[in-house]
Amino acid sequence: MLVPRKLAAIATVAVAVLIVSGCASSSPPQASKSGGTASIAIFHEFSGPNAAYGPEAAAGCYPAVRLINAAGGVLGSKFECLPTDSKGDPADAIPAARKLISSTANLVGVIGGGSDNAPAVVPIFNQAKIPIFSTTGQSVFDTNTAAYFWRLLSPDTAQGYAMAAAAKQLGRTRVATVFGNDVAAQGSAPSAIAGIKKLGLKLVAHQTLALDQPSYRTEVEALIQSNPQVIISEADPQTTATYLSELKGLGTLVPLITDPVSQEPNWITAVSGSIGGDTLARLDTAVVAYAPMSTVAYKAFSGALLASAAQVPKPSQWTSDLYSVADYDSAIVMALAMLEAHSTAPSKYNGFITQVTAAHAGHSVVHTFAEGKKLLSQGKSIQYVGAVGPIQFNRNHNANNAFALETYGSGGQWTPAGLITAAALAAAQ
Amino acid sequence: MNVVISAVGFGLVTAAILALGAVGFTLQFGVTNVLNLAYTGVLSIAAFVALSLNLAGLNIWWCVLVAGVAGALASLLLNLFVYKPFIRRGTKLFGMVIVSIAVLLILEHGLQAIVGVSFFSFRFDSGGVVRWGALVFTTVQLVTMGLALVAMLLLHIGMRYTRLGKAMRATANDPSLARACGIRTARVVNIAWLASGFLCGVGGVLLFMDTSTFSATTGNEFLIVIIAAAVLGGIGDAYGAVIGALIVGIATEVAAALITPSAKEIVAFAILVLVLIVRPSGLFAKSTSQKQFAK
Repeated sequence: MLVPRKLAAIATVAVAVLIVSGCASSSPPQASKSGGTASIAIFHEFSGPNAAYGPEAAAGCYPAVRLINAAGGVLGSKFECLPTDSKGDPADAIPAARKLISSTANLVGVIGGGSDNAPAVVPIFNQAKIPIFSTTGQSVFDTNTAAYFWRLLSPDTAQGYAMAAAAKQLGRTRVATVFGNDVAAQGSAPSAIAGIKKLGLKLVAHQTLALDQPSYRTEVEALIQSNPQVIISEADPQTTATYLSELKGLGTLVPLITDPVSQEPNWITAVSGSIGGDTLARLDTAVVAYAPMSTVAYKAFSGALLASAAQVPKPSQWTSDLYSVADYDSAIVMALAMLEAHSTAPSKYNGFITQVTAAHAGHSVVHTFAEGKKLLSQGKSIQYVGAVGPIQFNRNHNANNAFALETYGSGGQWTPAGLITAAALAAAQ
Repeated sequence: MNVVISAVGFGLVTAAILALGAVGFTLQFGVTNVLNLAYTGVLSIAAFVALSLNLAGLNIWWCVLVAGVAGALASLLLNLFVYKPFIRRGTKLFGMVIVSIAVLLILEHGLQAIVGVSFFSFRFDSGGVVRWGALVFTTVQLVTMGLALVAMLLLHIGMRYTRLGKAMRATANDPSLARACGIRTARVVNIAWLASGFLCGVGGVLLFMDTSTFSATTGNEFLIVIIAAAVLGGIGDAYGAVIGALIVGIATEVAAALITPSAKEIVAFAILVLVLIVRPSGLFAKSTSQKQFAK
């Protein structure tokens, strides 16, 4: 049947419009004027096997936005968190990032970029001149040159050295390493192994696990044969639970040294389910960024988090999650930088992020957004010390933290059990 | 040598669980010619039905049976209300694959929306450790292998010595001819879906007992391995699926022992590719690619 000419012409134009709008990529949003709503995107997985990452980041964003808005917002703008499913791998995350940028005119910043897609999406946000605060530990960002990329937590390489230092500090001499073969876990494996050797400890076994296998019995048997005193490990909840369950089944559970992943609710649930919460509490020591829960900043975060139950289901599960804490600080830093810059435009305030975080003589230390806003309105300079502690960005926009040892209580809280001193960390490197 | 023997032993446990899944998958495909990629979606649903009863206090072994029944029903309903209507409309093989992928995604995301993103564990006593020389098993693993063996034996007896089994084999070979010979192929197809779903459900619970923890999406991680075992043995051949499961299960564990743990999947799929190069239809081949859908 012949299509009438006019109909064909209309259809052609419609298709062309769809193609152009669909291909619109990385066009920077309009500079945000005062008033209205400013959006901070939570760019993480909200579906699929890592669907816990989105709610984890939301547990940082919503408390921050609550406090920002409670203090009157920024330059007349109220803030909102915009959950955006990155879907995980780069093939899905890239179009999701482009769509976010092109469809969100009031996008002022991004909390996101997990280890599985950060190298792919950071350049997109950087090109669009939108600051992205990521908790990825990948070493590729250790020498980051993207002006709009920021990382509040120490990279995986430092984490690995800290875990080796922890083994030494705990008096263990025979150490095994068990890491998943994913990009996130493999970030700290090399430095953990190097640190073990540098400290003169004996590396009795080194295993790289294929993720989410139905069985690790062979690997577990090999580990038992090596007779370690401690296992340094990072792997996803499923993999770790299966592995430890089989270790327990063969009768030989060994003390663990883990990283912040082990403080995520899903990890705790999975591993507790497989070996028991009491056993986990007895065996596990987590090496995490030193972020005491007694500070003003941390208390502000946890209070706001618990008040955000409408947006964050079961908020108490995230109070010890370092990634949520870091994401909270990320949003606060963005807002304070906007005040300092007198603009919510991402391309403008980005240059002021270090202004509000660096330690300088004459800068007043603040621990909450309200404190910072008050002093900035008085024309003073500030240094925001957040829930993760001091945030000192280096020239690659990485902030390195001190490390602490924490143990898990069967009541569900993590308790400080010691510090990794700078000297101890340096000795492992 | 002890390391290899241990690995073979460990591989037998994996193979037992994999065999249940692969046989269920291939049995249904053999009879119906529908590539049901939503298989692990059914597996997950059956497992969560069993979990709900287990958490309410039901003994794990009754939960295995419940999961089998739940899987059977879910499979049958899937065929009656999704696949069959599409087949009636003349949807070809590729279209049916797309439909099954869509169903898998719906089931996966739907289940995740209901149960959330957390992890869950069955409650059961894993029993003691049994050692036979270099072989090491827990009591639960021995029961798992026993259950799988019983299931395979029952399937063998059913397929070989019962009228229903003969009817299924006839329908698998040529549905039109089977119908012409008076076999009620529609009934046979329904029973194939029920049997497939039952094995899927049972296999799912045993799998998640083995992994000790699972989420709404864990089952989907094993779809490719299940298909690999089925294809390796010859898609549509239940006996081939058992052999395929044994090869995949043992090869992965031996690879972990002799090479490196991260070589597990590489070795398993390398073997699959090598076998298919030599025998493109699998070890116990009968090509079904030209078959029509059984109705």
